[in-house]
Amino acid sequence: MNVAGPPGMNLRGWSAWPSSADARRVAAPPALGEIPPLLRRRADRMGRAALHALTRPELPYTGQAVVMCSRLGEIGRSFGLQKELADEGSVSPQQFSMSVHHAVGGLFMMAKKARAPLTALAAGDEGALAGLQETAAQLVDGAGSVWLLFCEEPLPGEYRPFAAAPEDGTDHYAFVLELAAGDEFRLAEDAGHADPTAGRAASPLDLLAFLLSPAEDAIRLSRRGGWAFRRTGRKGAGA
Amino acid sequence: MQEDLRHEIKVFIIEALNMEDVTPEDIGDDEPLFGEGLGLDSIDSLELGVGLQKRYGLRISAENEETRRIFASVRALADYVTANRTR
Repeated sequence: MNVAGPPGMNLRGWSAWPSSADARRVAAPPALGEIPPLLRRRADRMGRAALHALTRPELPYTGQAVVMCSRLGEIGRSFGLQKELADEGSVSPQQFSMSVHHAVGGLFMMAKKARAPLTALAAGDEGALAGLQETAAQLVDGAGSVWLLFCEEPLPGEYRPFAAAPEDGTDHYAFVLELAAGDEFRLAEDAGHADPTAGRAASPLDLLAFLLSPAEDAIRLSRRGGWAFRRTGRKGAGA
Repeated sequence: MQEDLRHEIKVFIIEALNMEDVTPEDIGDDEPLFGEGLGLDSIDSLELGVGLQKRYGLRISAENEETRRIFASVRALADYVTANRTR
């Protein structure tokens, strides 16, 4: 069987909330001037972080497909709904309508009046891999560039003891990568990690750190080996 | 007294629907709540229905022909609450 490898990618730009690692503890949710009030009222804190990252002037939206990748989504909202159901036997229709995984991406598309494809993924501790694979697939399919959004919020206190990844319990964040076909980076078979059992997959925040630090050559994307993301070109990260 | 109730209902709508940036004074007594006017949508009508049931003991059926009239404006809603409330 003759199968072409996954395409290379360039990082065209990125945006994030909070905008720097130093600002990770921010009390107030971000302002969302670009999103109409009737839409933004539906977003919780993670949703607001995501909408903020999606509407930065440094990354203008021009109709790209969006791949939204979140391990748990707005888990605080989901947990609140479960408690409400247990306590009162009914749930808020407004909260329920927002409890699907792609809801926040939907708010963004509605605000932009965009009809571009929106894909929502929840891929456990291999979210970075799943997001890059979906992005690669869309680039092969002819997309000029793809917006890859990662967003997460802390687990509710009751769930904390069951956190499976160290970043699950920290704080909410969102960042967007604009990726286009190119030769800066490449999904590749991870021959360096032949051991099928050991290791930890790169988290979305690991991926961001890798993209922005030219010193590293590759990061491991899958828990049991198999996939890595490699730096294959010399160009710096993003404009 | 109806005026007090209308104000109460405006506050209730703002809180139930997370209408940040909107104050009770921004909502006219006769302003349409849905579509033009305040701009609420069908999910909001469900949310208000559940909230009105909890707060005033009203049962408003989604199938009811009257529903459109009840939700037409704050004034119409206040009149309906006055006539039908059980708490």
